[in-house]
Formats: sequence, structure tokens, C-alpha cells
Amino acid sequence: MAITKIAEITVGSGGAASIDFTSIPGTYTDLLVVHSIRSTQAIVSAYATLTITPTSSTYSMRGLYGTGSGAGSFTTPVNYIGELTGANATSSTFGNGQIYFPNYAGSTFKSYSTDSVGESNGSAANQSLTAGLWSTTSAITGISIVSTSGTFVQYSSATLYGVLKGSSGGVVVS
Amino acid sequence: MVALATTTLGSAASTVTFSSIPGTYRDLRLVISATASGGADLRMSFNGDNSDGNYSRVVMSGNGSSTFSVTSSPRAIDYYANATSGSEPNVITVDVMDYMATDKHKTSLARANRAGSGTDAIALRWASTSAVTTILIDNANSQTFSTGSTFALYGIVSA
Repeated sequence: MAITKIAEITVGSGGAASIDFTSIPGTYTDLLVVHSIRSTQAIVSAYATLTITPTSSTYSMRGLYGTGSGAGSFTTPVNYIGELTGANATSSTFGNGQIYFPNYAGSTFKSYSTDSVGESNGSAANQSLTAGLWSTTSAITGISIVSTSGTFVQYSSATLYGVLKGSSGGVVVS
Repeated sequence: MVALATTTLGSAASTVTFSSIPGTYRDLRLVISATASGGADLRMSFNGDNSDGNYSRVVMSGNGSSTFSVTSSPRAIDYYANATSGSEPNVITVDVMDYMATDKHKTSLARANRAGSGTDAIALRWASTSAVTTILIDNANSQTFSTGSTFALYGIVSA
């Protein structure tokens, strides 16, 4: 199969300030992170930021968001990676999102995309799409989803998948 | 998901074609990471049909300060997040739903991203009930895709 689960992290009863994938092998083509997170931040829609290992500060981003009553485009924070559900959202409700890193182990700058929503049964639930760039030629060996205020609650989770390119079935590329 | 074909360009190319696509999957996923000789709006065509009149699309896009929604350039799979000659590739994923169905037009969902310009979400339709056997990627600006650009096709199996 082209897609393989590498690791899965579920936050325990003490909560967590971040969800961290470390020692990511360089044997895949792309990486996919799928997350379902709720924050203790007293807001309906919270958001998270990204830290990539090896650590550097060379991030940039452009995003598109919708709130249910309006839409806009934004460029900060530069390492923004998605909407989460905050403490003021409908109870027992978690946000969901994904982050895709193509060619994460290559020697070029690393582009990535995110799609996410901070779920809530009511108004002010935000959805966003972003294009991100980590302007570093190093391979990605770690990915952290970091809370910007408060912590991630118990049962928040994230799963890291590896996507492996290949060829089968006789498809011809020219 | 099964990897069907992939290419990393060893030299500049103006088109990339996936042909002989088997009919044994439910959906297809295309993943592109590309730079080009200049600003290039990538396009996708099925089965050699490059007539814009047979395609339609709607775009939702943000460039960091403004939002856009357009329907122009019906075969294009990006809008603001086009490929350029810089060091940042544009990253595009395209999901082609139910590509083998012969009772419906073919719907695709594309996400195009380049942090230096914007992020796009695109819904596309090919007004044909033919099964998809070939996908061609080119661009509307007569540019070439640069060495190192990658194009990968995956098949998604139904349950």
C-alpha cells in the first residue's frame, strides 16, 4: 500500500502543550498528518502552530478562512497550521484537519498544505486552508503541533502517515 | 491507496502524461510539486480532450490579503498558487472521483498551494461519461516544468 501509518499520538488525562512526532524516517515520499484536537483556550475556534525539526525559523504562509459569516485571507502567524476547537465550543467536540508535506526528505525547500476546521454546533466555527513553506533544504525529521494558548485536552489525537511513490498496474508516464 | 506511477523530471518538460490508467480503482489522486521556467498555470486534461468547452470549474482562493472566487480557465488546477521559477514549488493535490464511471461526468477536487502567492481550492468537472484512461498535465503559459519537479499518481481502492 502507498500509505502507511508511522505513528499515532493520543493526549492523556494531563493534557499536553503539543503533539510531537520525532525520529521520522526518511524512507517515504510524502508525509500526511491528520489531527483531531480540542484546546483549553476559552474561545470557540482556536488555532495551532507548527514546529519542524531540525528547528529553524524560516516559515511563511498564506491562508484562506471562513467563519460562517465572512471570509478572509491572512499571512500570520507564519507557522500557523490549522484551526482547532476551543473550550467555548460545543462540548465533546473536537476540530479536525490535515497537513500534507510532499517530498519531505528531499533537498529543496519544503512546501506544505493544511485544511482544517474548528468544529462547533453554532456560530463562529472557523475553517481554513493554507499554503505553507519551510525555507530549509534539510529533510524533515520531526513535526510538532503546538498550542498557542492553553493546552490540548485529553483524547486529542494526531496520526502521522507516510506516503510512498511507486509504480504498478502498467500506468505509463511520459 | 496504491502508487500507480511517478516521475521526477530529469530535464525540463512541457507536459506530463499518465496513460494506460487501469480501471481497477474507485478514485485517483494526483500529487504535484513543481517549479517552472516562468509563471505557469497548470492544467489537467482527460483522454486527450483539451477543449475548454468540455470543462468547468469554480475556484476559492486567498492571496494573504484578499479572497477570490472565479470560474475562468476551466482546465486549470491552480489560480494564485501557480508554479514559478523560484525555489518554492507549487504543491497541488487533485482527487478525481469515480473516474471509471460511465454514467456521470467526472468531478475533481484540487488544492493548490504556494506560500509565496496563495492557496486555492478548486472544484472541476469534465463533461464526459467516458472512463478516464489518460491524464495530461500542461500549463497555459507555454512554460516548461523544471528539472526536479515531481508528479505522482495513486489509485484509491473502494471497500
